[in-house]
Amino acid sequence: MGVPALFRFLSKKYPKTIAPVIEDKPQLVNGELVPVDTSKPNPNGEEFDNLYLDMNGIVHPCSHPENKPAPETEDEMMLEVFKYTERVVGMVRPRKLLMIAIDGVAPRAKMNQQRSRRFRSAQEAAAKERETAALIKQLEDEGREVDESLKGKKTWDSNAITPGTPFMDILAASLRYWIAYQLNYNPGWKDLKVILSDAGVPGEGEHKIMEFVRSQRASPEHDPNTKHVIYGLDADLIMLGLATHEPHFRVLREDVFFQDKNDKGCRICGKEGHYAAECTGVPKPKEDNPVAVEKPFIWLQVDVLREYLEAELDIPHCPFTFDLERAIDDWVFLCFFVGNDFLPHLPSLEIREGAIDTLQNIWKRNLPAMGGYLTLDGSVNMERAQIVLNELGKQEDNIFRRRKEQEVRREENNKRRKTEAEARREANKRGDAGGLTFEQEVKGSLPQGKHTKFNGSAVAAGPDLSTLAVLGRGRDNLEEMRALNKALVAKKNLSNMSAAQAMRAELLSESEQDSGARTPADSTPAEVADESAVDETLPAEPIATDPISAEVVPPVEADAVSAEKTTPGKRKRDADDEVKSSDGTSKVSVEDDDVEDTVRLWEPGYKDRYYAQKFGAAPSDRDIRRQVAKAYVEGLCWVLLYYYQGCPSWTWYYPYHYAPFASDFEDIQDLDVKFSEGKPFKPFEQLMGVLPAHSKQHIPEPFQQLMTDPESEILDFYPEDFPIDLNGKKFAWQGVALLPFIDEKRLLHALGKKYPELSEDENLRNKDGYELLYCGDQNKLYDELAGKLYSKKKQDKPLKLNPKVSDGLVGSVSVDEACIPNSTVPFPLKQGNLEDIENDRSISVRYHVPKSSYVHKSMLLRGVKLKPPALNYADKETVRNGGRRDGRG
Amino acid sequence: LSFALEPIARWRGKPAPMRQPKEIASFSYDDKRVQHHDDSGLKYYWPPALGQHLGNGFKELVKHDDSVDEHLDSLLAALIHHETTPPVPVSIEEDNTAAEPPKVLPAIDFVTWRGMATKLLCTPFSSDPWSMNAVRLNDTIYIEEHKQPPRPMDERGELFSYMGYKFEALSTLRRPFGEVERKEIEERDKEVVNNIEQYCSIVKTSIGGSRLVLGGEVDCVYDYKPEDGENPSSHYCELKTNKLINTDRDRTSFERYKLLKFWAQSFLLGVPKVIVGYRTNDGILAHIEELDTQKIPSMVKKNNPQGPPWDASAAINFMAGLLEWLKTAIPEGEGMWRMEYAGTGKRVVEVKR
Ligand SMILES: [Mg+2]
Repeated sequence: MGVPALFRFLSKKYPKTIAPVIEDKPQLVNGELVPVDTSKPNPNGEEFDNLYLDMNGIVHPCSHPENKPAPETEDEMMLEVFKYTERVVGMVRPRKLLMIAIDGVAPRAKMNQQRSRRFRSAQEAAAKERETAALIKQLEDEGREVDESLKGKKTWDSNAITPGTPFMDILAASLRYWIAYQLNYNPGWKDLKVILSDAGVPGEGEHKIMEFVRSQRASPEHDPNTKHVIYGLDADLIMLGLATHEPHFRVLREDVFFQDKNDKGCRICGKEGHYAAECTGVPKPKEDNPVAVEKPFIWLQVDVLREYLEAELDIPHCPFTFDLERAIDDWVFLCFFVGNDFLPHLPSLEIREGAIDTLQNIWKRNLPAMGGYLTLDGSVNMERAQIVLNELGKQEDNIFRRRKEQEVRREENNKRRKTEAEARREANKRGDAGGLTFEQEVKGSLPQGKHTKFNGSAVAAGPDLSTLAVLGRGRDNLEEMRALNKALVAKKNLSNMSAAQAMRAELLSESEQDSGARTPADSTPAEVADESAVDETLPAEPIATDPISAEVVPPVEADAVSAEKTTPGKRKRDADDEVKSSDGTSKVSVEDDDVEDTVRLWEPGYKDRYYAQKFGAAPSDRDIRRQVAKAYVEGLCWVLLYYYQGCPSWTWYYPYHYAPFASDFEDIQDLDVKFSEGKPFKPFEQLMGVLPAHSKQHIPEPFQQLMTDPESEILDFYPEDFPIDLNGKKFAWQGVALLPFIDEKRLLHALGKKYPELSEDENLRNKDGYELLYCGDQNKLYDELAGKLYSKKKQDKPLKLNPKVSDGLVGSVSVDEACIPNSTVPFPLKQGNLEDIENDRSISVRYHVPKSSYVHKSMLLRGVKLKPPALNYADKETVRNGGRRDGRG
Repeated sequence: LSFALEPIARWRGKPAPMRQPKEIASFSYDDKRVQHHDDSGLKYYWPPALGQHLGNGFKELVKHDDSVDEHLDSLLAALIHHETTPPVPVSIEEDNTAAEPPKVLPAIDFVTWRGMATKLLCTPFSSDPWSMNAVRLNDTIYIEEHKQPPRPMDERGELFSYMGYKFEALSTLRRPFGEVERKEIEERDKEVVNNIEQYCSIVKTSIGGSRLVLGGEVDCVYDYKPEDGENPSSHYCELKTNKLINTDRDRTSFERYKLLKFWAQSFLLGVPKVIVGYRTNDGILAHIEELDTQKIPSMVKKNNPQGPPWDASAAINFMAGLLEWLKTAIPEGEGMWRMEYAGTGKRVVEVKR
């Protein structure tokens, strides 16, 4: 769910929810890497039963990693995926179940966002390709040799990570092999059952996981004290964890606070130590350091978060009995207002401005009068929701005005800082810089701490980089350099200096100028990198933004942070933009930098202007406001149901690019909100719904024409260029991509005509897949499955799992046609040196999640044993006092 | 003929060998007290909300007429049904539906209700008198209560026993959690309480050298009733109420009388869990405690280092001895015998024609 900064917000406000993961690393013994034996007790002092992998959170970072060059082939990516997954599984050491869920076809409500991301990503990719081509051409023009392999090298299109593409097929096949491999050879997997839900199974990965958890918990055989861990990069996994009402739940992720010292290296050849302009065109040799620096992981302990929420939400003098489970659901619902993947957030709710606290306070103040909770097992009480919206509506004008005031103040501060820096630089020039050589000058001007801090990368890189690296505060600085480099390369011929010299000179001044303008907070670019890794998850969470005192954060920060998921290239440009625009002497002006905000939310009459400009409605047109508000209310109901009961409708979506104001909601209790379930798109339909023409190579040939052929009846779905509305924000990535919405009927009609042209293979790829359950022959379940499904007298109807044999797993299973026990499983990749698995001792069956017609109830299960409290009185008081320590604030 | 309790010391020491009670059949009474040979009356434990009044609906109680002597009728009917119905195949491999139904009774020394067995088991530590009838047929001794006209209870007594039923109603569901609506869980207080419906489990067990078949009401399953041949007994739980323990005297009395009974009842049917709902003097449900049946004796011992009020091993050994003696005292085919314990005075169990 795209709640920018949510993770940061939570970990700041509820610090004890975070704990470091203790991880055993493979050891080098006599030059050989000895893997960790995960059958040994978990070094975290606690064993876990189930691990769920939101697999897109692994595939994305592996396809364009932050701390090393991107894998060059898809095979290499798969090997990276293996490595990363093995690390995560080894960290958690699940004892009962591992579920690997890859995003399948998503509900229609999600497609707007997917589409926007993929179109933007394609735009970025195209720009990047042009840029690289230009650089290569320049090298050639200078008479330097450019390695053939670099020429015509296309950036790998991360839009391939969409259900239905050949890439997703390779991924599924690779994972099937890898699971069998682990079950055969990894002692830690001896008793493990593995469920693989690949992109062929409809539904977003994390929601398929949630459906599974709900299905298990509805069964009386379920152990209420099951210890769950979910891995993923998306902050809303926390919400999902809360929504299960399983108290022993943790979210596992990379530590966003960890400082990443490495950079990606040259974007042409992948080597570190120089920039594209200095590239000599020799490709980077293969990585041979097996124990590379890895980012540490952290736990987000949902049980501790539950304790915080209990302290915070149990208000005194409430006329009805406090029910923590219900209060948690209300809180989750409030968080949806601040942001989710399916609706644009309300204009007045910015998480950085403390929107969650604003809503929470409204909730607390009004709860006694509301007479009950806002939500019930995933459905919204409209009367009560109306009360909350009314209260928010009353504050809206104020929020907008305050936002403007803070913005003005920030700009003034920036100007002042810039002037001061300017003055300092002038003073330096006149002063004592004279006798130093260039190198010394650079180093001498740095604060000691920074110098040592970046020693790591300085050592690893060549001399040029060491100079640059010590200057840097990490990634965003390097991005600035790249930008500069670009500019410098352009004007190099006019100068007597070499490009590198010129760059250094420029950097020196840049760094001085900038270091004054930045707060310490923004020196954690690693977070950006981390967040940007996931696809469907969210626009990256801004770094180090204190939501309570947003005004102290300079505007550059929000930008540096901006990175959007699917667009690794984007980050670069955003950073470029930032440098240019924050630099007074800016050479290249950002296209949208000077766009005036004509809605002016801070001035009276904004509502008329908003609806006129965003919806093309006349001021007198009250109908449109009602319509938008109604659609939004539907959206809120849809989202809540989606999280608590599973997808209420595959076809519903919010048909606008913008949200209404809180004050536009009137009498929502009179709205009749109903959903019809519908059915998910087929993979190719979804591909045609979300991919731009630039990524058409992922789509079967017959469909491709529909994206480009001037005669195509749906050509208008695939604009090459599309406007981006800044919508009051500063940078393009924050804006709203104004893409036309897909008309399902027209899309299906157009595709229908092309279906006969598909090949058999393609047709197969377009079919719904199924979930697979694996185990090894040492598992108690093996004999039962082998005997009943793969012996001579096998049975045809699905076999109900016996929870005693399956260790509590419920559901039914049937034959997986692809499984032949004890056969040889070939290694599916061309690269890599894993062997074929001879005499495969694992088994796989189709797994059918038990379906219950009853609703998931937000209650703790009988027999739950809560852990001893992690919070003390002071922790709870702090939360109750709105973050201030008792007696100190 | 009489069997002496004293000296108690001779019963102490290692307990006589016991076989884990194993369920051989179960049946249900519906709300008309009609017996069904199925699990339709089985209930599922689900914790009640605290703060509810256990006296709510007292006036509406639909009460079972306990003046009627039901003898061993339903227990025997269930055994006959069990013996004449082929067992359901429990696993797919062993598809041996043709196998002979197991013959239970010939090898059994005693058949009775759990209630009678509890009285026998507790006798050494109890001053409550009891009176039972016994008859020996085909080497099996059938024991039932010697029914006396029910003692009239005062309003207060009626209310307290209602609270027990109410606690059961507040703590159970008719179907597993996953299959009920939230409303059903939250509105259990609104249901009219009756003590007519029941679910009964019949187990085979042995104490010392005697083999027993015991039938008894089971309040609910804690999680689920297994269908794969696993012994369901270990999934059952017993629901009890008690007044909140505030003083040492409260505790002493709870341990001496209540815990002995809770333990004996659950122990005999192999029910591993006793869930106690503690109420205030006003009848408000204030606290819930889950006890492990097995651990109750050691818990009582630990709380009474100077000497526990009762001793589980002694109770078991006494019962083993008594049963052994009854086998010799009650001859085959001579009609009904009366067994009696006076409670006070002579510490003996008497058997007479
Ligand atoms: Mg996802």
